[in-house]
Amino acid sequence: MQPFAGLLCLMVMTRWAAPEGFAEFVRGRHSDLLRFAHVLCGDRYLAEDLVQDALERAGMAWRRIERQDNPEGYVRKTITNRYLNQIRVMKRERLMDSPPETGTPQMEMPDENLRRLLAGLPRQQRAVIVLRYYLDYSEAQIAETLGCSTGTVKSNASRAMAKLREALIAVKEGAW
Amino acid sequence: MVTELDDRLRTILRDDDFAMMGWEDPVGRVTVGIRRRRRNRTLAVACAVLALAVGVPAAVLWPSASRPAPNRPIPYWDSEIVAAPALARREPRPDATPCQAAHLGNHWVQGQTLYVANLGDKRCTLSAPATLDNGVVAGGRFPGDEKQYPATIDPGEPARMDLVFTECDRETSVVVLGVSLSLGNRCVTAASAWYVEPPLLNAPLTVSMEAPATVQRGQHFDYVVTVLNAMPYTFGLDVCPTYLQQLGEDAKWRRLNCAGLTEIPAHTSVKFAMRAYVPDSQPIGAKLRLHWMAVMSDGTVAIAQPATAGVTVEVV
Repeated sequence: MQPFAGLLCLMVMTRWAAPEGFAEFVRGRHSDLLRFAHVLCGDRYLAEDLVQDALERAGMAWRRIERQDNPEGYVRKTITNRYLNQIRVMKRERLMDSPPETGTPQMEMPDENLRRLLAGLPRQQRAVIVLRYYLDYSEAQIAETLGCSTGTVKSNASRAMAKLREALIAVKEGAW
Repeated sequence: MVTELDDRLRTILRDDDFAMMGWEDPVGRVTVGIRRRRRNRTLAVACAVLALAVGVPAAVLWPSASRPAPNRPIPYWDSEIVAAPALARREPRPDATPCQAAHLGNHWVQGQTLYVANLGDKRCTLSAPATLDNGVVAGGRFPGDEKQYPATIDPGEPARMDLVFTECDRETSVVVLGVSLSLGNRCVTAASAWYVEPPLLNAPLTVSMEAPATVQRGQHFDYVVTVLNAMPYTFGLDVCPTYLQQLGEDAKWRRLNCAGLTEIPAHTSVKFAMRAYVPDSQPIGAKLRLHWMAVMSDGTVAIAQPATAGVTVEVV
């Protein structure tokens, strides 16, 4: 018991310090990561939490991540998956969202409305759209980030775009 | 059209509205967080060691009814139950400011239900009367205990209205707050008041599944469900949970085989062996979604792989 207590004391007393490579990475990339998280979740405060959480995890595993030669990809993947798996205590989302059958807005479709429709997409679909159109990821890269198959990526992208496209077509053709 | 939407999405997502101020001392901020995690982890280890040092002798002297979580999957038992359990859902919300016409842009019909999403940036309550083409005013409540009236909806969340209709050869609509919502070729004879179906409440457990990628029709297949208590406290199982297993359209409720387990300790996972049957009628090549959801005694749920709503298996 005594040697173990000694080891625990040592663990507490040895304060973690950021390796230089990690410090440089955080200084150089945290702003872009904040912006990415904001685009992903649409909420500034949640974006800060997601990036803080992801960078802490990256810092603790830095030696392993640095060897993989793509620390930014690792952190973006962590941010995306933490966003998708978030459990909010009193505000649960429907988990089996289905695409709408038709979408017929009665108004013009300025970017503001397109932004709102994006905000209303289920998380998985929104994440696919953001990874494709903000980061220009390929389907394979999106699949790797989300930990799913390219089939699932295609299906989510297709559903999301169908929702947005139908509304756009309805506006072009005039209200019913 | 596709190209235009692609371009607009790229433009919107790269807009300055999403720009964020950088942190003043990002390295310092992250370092503080990491030190806190390491401290918490050290404390957790210390507590575990202490508990072991005190607990092992105590367990030997005073054995309790709670068995430690097993490392191998608890065997499957076929214990079908007839009645689905009551599921805990979000409590009814107090009414918010009434939704405005400008909030009602995006709508769609799925099955027997009209959905209208809140396009505003604030919560609002949709209770305004809606009138059908034939002059009938929508109202009343259709069966369904989980429905909450009126519809108080957050941005992006849809309000719902149940419809009774037949397919016809003319296009119809329903008018609410002066906005005409198309119903397509559906001649509606009755419609409910606006309501929401509140989301289920989750137990603090994380569930994952390992299932084969391919299955054979007319045969059973085995898979494993892992239930993880990632919290720093014990999760009690006063009553062994029931669970819903759904493969494609085929859903069954069963009771879990807890094998005497009365709790899941902190930071511990428990595996359960599961078995499902693929009907003969499934075509070769069909891709079926396997859903799994456990229900606790208080009605809270733990859903396997919620991000993808389960896993897909292919019939070969």
